[in-house]
Amino acid sequence: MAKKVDHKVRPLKDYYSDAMVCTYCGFCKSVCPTFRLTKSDARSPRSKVIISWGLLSGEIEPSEGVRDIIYTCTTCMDCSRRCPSQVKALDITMAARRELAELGLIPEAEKTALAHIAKENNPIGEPQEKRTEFVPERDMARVGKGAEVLVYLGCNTAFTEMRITKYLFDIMDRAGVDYTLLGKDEPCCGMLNYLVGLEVKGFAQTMKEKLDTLKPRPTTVVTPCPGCFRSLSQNYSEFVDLGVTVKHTIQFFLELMEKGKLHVKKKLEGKVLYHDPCDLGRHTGIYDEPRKLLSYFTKIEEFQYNKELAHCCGGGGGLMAMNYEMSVGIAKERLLEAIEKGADIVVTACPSCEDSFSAALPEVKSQTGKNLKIIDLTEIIAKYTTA
Amino acid sequence: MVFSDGQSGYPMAKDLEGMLKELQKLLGDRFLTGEADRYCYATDSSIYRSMPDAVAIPINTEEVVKIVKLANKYEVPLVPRGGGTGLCGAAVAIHGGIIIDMQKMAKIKEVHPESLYCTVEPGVVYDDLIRALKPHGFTFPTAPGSGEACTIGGMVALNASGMRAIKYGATRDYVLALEVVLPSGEVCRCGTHTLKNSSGYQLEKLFVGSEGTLGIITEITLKIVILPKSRAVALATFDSMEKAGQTVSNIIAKPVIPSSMELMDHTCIEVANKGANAGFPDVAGLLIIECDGEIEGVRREMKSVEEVVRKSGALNFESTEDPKVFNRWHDGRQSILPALGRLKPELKIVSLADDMAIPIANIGKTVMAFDKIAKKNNIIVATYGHASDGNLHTKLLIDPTKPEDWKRAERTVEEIYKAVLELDGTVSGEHGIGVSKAPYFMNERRSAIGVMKAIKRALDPKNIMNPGKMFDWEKKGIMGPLRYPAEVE
Repeated sequence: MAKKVDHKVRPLKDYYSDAMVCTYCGFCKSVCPTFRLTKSDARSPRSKVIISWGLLSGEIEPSEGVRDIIYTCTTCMDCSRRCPSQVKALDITMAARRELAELGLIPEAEKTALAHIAKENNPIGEPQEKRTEFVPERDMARVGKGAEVLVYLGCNTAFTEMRITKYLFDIMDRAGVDYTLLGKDEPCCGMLNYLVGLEVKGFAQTMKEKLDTLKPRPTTVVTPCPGCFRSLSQNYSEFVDLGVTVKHTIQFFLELMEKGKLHVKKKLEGKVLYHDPCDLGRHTGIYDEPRKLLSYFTKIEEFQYNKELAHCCGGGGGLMAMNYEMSVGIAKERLLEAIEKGADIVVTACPSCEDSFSAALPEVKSQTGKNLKIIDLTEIIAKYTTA
Repeated sequence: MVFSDGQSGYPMAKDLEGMLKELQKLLGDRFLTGEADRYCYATDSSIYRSMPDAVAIPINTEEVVKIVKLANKYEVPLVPRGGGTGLCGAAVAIHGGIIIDMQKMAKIKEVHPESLYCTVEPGVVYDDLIRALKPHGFTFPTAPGSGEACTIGGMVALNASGMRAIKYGATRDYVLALEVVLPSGEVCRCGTHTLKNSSGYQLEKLFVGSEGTLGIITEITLKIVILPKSRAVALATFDSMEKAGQTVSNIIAKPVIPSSMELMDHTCIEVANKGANAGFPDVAGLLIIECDGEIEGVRREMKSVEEVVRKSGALNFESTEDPKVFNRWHDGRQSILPALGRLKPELKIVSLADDMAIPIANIGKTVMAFDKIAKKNNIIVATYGHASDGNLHTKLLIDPTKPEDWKRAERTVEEIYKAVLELDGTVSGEHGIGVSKAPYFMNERRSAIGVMKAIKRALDPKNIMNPGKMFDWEKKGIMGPLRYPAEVE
């Protein structure tokens, strides 16, 4: 079950007292992926609280320097988990982002993606017509029809993650699920806008309207992207009640396995580690379902830092667009942890994690000589099950 | 907040611009001058905030040498900094100048279990070193509470330690050799890789606790010890803190040397229970006692501890070898700080009178004295600490936006340290002096300050290394540039 996390971005002034509760002990540094990689205090969660205090107290002015500190963050939320004083450093960071975004102090890379969202309804900049490009011909007839289940692909899966998209449809069709798609009408979930610090009320309302157009109206929305999952299941709740149960595909696939709609065809070979995506783990508390699902196919081994303690892949928070090198560096560190554990395969359940890991893989291979494989859990279900 | 504007009355940089230009050339993007970056380095875990003029991030000794030589040439203050976890302001650039962030010098260079030493760069984080030593079956057992964020360089600079000092000592006891870049820019290698050393002045010991005032530490060789194989922990409760304190001395006099004895007063117990559901009994004071080593020895020691605790009038005694139980007690102990911070919305924990050491036999009296001082000044003073080595921590809770609260806090601190000195103690057991203990330190070490100043002058005639700290703090009180929104004279 997903946990309910308060993701409301509040005004920075609401954190005046919290910023003083912070004792600057620095424990958040030890878990922060950007600090661990750079070893620079200006890249730590503590500094984000310090900078936020500077803005609150008027001791410093908003600037590009402030922007670079506040946005150099994967939003993995490990800092908030670790804080002995229970200061939610990520919430403060998000509040500071909101302040900066209102002033237009947004990283250039994110500005381009936001412009694409405004114009093309996706951060990639592809025309909306292409949103169904990877939907199999056989499933095109489902678009716009009413059904119990709506498969919400999300921008990454629709436009860039062709492999996952194909496997997702294979699984749904194999299990005989009656589902629908929004096709070219599928809106962006606005996660990037949220991460940048902008309001997502409009996205929430649009999503509700789109659901209203489907007759009968779906009761469940299934999405393969943990970011979209967070948007729909948590971020929107401040603005609208979508009137549906939102599930990540992993939760849905597990139900299909448990109901006997899918059966194990073969087992996965090699030592397998499961990487908890931050959006699915610390942000929404989905730890058991992916492990339960994966355990149908293999004996799962754990990273030393797993579940609540899992280290980030480096791809979150918009960091990859802003600082690709840093993102890949963080991903590399996580993969080296896997190699230390003797892993052959790292399984994840997030297109962004797979992206960052794939980008880091060549360097990990040249450094260690190991042929580590990165697989999305969706691919395993598709390849290793039968109806 | 103070900016480096020459207003502080301290001799300021002779040619700051010249220095900045040369450092930019030397370090490139590892030299930070932007306002936001400098603001991140303007404070540590103390109550102070003061803007440095720049931040330099060296990656090797050669770069440190060049930075120090430039600082000498241009007469610009340098403030070395590790993890920035210090509680007394030692890493705050009170008089501006350049912060030297040592965190990128973080290599564990050598581990030699067979010769009982390891050599590391100063930026290595304590917990990272512990993880690296563990597979060898060894450890560096000083166990500071800030272990997951503090650096070995910072620990050496402050002679840091933690709850196991009674059995394992403090950082100074483990430093075998140091490489230090002196204020002149010369590299001084002092000490050896041997456990014994009678070769002249043991300068490596002098640099321990020098708080960045005598040079910049660039390499550290530490003695390591065998990782204890097992441990047992006991919880002993008392109807008075005096009895709890007296029990600590009774245990040692038995004689038994546990690996730690942690003391908590009623305020700490209350907040740990309220804030973290620690489940401690509602008593006036308690001790968490740990024994470690070979299992037979641990059991024998724990039996002796129980005997003494019961004879000393404890309300209850409960011991366990179950890690789950002692982790729960340990978590309860660790929760004191966050729980105190959430006790009342308007009150915040401020790092004042955070650390003192007293002869073990005087613990009971000290705690009673603190209680009296707190009541007199109408201020919440929570007392806990590493009672086994006489090291206590007090946390003051005030509204840091109110100048009158700061004045009351300063008065309380003054009285606390007066009591500590009367009870034959010292103002710092493990956190160092920095700024927030400077006046009381100067009072305590009156007869030695002259010698310390002579050493400082001999090594650093231009006073470029961390000026304004320890005996160089010029004010009578401890109110400096606060990081809180209150102007206090």
